[in-house]
Amino acid sequence: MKTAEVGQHLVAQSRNGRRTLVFKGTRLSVAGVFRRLARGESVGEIVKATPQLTPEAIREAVKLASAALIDQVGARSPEHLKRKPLPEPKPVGRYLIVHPNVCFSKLTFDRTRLTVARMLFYRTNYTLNEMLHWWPELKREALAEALQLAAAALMERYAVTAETARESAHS
Amino acid sequence: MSQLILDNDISQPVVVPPLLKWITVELLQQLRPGEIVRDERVPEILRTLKQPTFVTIDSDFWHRRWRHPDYCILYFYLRDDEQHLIPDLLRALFRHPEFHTRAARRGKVAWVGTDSVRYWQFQVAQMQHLEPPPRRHKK
Repeated sequence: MKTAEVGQHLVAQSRNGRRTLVFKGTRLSVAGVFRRLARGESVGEIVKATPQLTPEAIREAVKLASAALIDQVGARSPEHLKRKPLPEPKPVGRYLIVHPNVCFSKLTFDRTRLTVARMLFYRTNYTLNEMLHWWPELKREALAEALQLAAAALMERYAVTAETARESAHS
Repeated sequence: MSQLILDNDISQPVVVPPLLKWITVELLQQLRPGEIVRDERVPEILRTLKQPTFVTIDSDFWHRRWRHPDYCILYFYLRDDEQHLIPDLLRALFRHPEFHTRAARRGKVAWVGTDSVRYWQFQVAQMQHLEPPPRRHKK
């Protein structure tokens, strides 16, 4: 098995062609934790039930995933302000969109001015019910989809790192 | 009518309750429920209000092209996990004569950091810098 560190808290693993992303020092998959967040568990509840995890590790995973998703769809972000706005709206999944005239081409939840990057960050600080209370235009399903797409983008980006490590070990 | 209009993206749980203790606040989306507020609509909406101050964490609003005599825009240059600082920074900013009243604020687009403020003023070519408030000397 080959591994490559991702950030401070994650590890990309490659074993017999199967690629996974886990939290460092654990066998817990990042995708699994994202699924729990999408189902409505809070970071506090996840950490309480899984003491090997820390809130910081989950926050880092969500931040990296959010950035990976934004890059994947070509949206602008505070880190990519020079990126050109898309010429026309680009739906992402069922509930997300990059619209040239909404939040300056950042990835947002459709029909809102809520950016996905910020809402995912807030999701690591607030419970699902708090999110839905403070941002009533946000839908539960939309948040779940954003987490799911972000997790997939994270895998896409970083699981390759382990694959590269394996290939370079053979070369 | 509210003095402050908050961008929807702001971390409302840490920003709104402290602000409501001393100032009236509304969210941009509350002003146009059900409408998809496009970027160019934001100044249009602000112009329908009485000299509002728009508070945002979106750096795309920190640009002199947004200056208008009918409203003020404050862009807070903070990390997402620093947004709890907004109420205190806002209160400190509003103590300055240049930002003390609605009338003084209008026409300004300001960049507000934890230790400095700079702003564009309508019909003023140069960017302005706000002097930090004088420290009180302890005897």
